[in-house]
Amino acid sequence: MRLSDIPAAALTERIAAGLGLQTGPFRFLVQSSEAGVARGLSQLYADFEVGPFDLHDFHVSIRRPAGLRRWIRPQVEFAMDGFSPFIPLPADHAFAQLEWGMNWCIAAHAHHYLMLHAAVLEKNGQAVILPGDPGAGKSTLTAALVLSGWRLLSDEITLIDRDDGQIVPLARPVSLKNASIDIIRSFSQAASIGETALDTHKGSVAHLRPMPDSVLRMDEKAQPRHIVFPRWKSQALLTRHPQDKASAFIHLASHAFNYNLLGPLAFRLTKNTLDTCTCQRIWYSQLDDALAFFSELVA
Amino acid sequence: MKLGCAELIHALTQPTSMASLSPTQWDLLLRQARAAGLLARLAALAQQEKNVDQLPKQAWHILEGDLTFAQQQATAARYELRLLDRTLKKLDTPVLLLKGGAYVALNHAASAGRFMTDIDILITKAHLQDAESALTAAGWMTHSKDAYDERYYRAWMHELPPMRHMSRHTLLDVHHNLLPETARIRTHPEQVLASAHRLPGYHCLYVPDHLDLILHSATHLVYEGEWGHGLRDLSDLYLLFAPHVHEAGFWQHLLARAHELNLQNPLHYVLVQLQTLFGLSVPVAVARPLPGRGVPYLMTPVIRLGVLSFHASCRTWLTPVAEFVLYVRSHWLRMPPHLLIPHLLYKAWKRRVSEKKSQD
Amino acid sequence: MRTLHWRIPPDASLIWHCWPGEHEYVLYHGAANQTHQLAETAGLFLAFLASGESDPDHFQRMLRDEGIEQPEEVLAHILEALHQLDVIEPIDAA
Repeated sequence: MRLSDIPAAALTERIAAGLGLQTGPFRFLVQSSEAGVARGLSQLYADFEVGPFDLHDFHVSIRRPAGLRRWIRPQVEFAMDGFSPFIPLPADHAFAQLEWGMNWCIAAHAHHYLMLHAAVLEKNGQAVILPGDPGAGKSTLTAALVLSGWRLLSDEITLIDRDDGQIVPLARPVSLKNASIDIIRSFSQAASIGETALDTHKGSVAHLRPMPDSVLRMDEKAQPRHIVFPRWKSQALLTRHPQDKASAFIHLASHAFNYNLLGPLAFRLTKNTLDTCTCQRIWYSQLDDALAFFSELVA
Repeated sequence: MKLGCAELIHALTQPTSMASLSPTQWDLLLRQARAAGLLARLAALAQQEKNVDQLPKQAWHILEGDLTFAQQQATAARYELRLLDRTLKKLDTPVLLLKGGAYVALNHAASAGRFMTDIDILITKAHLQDAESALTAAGWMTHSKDAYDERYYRAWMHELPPMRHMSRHTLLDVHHNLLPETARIRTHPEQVLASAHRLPGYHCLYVPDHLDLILHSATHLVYEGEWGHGLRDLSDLYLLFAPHVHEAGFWQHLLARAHELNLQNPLHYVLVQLQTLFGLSVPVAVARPLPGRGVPYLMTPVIRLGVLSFHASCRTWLTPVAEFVLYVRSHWLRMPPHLLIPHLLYKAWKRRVSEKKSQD
Repeated sequence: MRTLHWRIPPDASLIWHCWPGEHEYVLYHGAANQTHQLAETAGLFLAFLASGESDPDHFQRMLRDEGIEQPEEVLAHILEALHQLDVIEPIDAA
């Protein structure tokens, strides 16, 4: 059953009681009475498979903590099985808090996978990894690729399966910040963007709904074929620059979520990924130039 | 009282039972194990039983992930021991590894799937200052939170504050006794050192005799102020006992040693918990209640509540009461009254200040 | 004065790799769980030791034969860096 199959009133009730949600290989049990969470899930997770499931990877909740802050400038708190890793946030950031919380659950615990801090998308059977450096414009690029026929595997956490080195999709909503929200809104009519959370610690934050095809194919792993380090440079024409694999290795390892936890396995998985991938940097300013480059890369 | 974590404890004592759990049971078990710090231990036990294939793949992925992490920490600890051996051999005195460090060095079953956060070593008080100098020269720095903490350790507890390596960020606790000098129970570290065994392949590292490993682990558990790891510590103890319970003379030797070291009380409390929770077979004469005072009878249910405090599914309305009692008691055991009250007041004040900050 | 000979410590668990056409290595030091990026000559020295060799003077001659400039300095730097990382240790040359 898909989330969109549940009528609105029933959905609110089910989330309040705890809704099972399948995202890639993970089953979350999401519990919240916040209207913002129900709206966000309803719009952005419409195509996702829902429970009930017997066994979940993570039990998460978004709730108002006890005390005066329930009513005066209300706050909400994310918790995983009763543990709250973050400070409470304003209640109108509830959905953003849920997304960050779900990222945290995966990045802090899913050590069956080597987890890189990178976006990853697939076209023509080839997965392209985009490591997430500041100034890369990664989330804008990722969203534009999603709206240009690329299958979304992940916008933030790239999961590499320890058993076969393949990329395992999450296909969750793409997080957008500040200027990129409007850029993507005007980029395509098909862009379905959720509510904007204003004045978060990252500025304004909103999420792009993943295309149905990406969600329906979340069971389909992909072979990593290319690693591209993008850099947004004002008014730059697109230029390609070589990137040596030894340095790329160190970069990926030092920005991965759990490289140090996996010991020699991490080294082998990272090395195997670099073995099968081309490796380069690009500088760009125009989104269309970048999209053309990526199309050509996997042609 | 029905045990909310019966399946978890059963899995720890009979790992083959994991193969017959339903997905719904796994859902609760995994959450409890995670809260108790026992996911990796369950994974190690399942691997030892060679029945990983019979577990749901989703469950095994969660278990295996944590096991890899724990194994990596054990590797890091072994390397750390190598470097400590190099740094401290010039002191020409035995360096005794305690608890996790000893288990890892011995490749003991109790090290399987156990997360190591810091290394504990014991050396004689006479060598403490030289040890601190040698460690400092090798890049270790004392790591107190503030001047108050520093005083707590040095002047009041007569211990070195915890040390942290400046580039590897590993943590080291250097002790000269099994309990703080100010503790109400006096114990005898020189006797533990006398029975210790030198580790082959190292210059100055030693491990306690198997009886002392058990007694120290029991003492640490019972003196602990925070009980989030109580169940894990009991699991370690269960594994420490397991190879010996049917050995001729084991129980007599253990009791005798406990008397020698003045650690009968912690041993008693731990045996009761292992018997009632883990089903360890303890001879009647050994598990007999302590003579005299009323307090020890109350301690058993209080400790049990503490051990089971790690997850909402196992907590009751009494749990916070028990936690408070155990917290105060652990400080009472470590510190004389004239230090205890100001210390607790200071800690309460600090906690209130930091809570207020996070609310603003 | 007899030159110090070197070896990889028996429990070091090293894995290293250099991609075709590149000149730097990535090295995994298993015992310490550390990963490093090494210059080509340092990687070659590890391969040299792993093949059973131990005499740095021999390696220095190989560097000279390859046309590497200032081989004594290069070698001294390699020995210092790799020793610092704890991936090589001196052995009794006897």
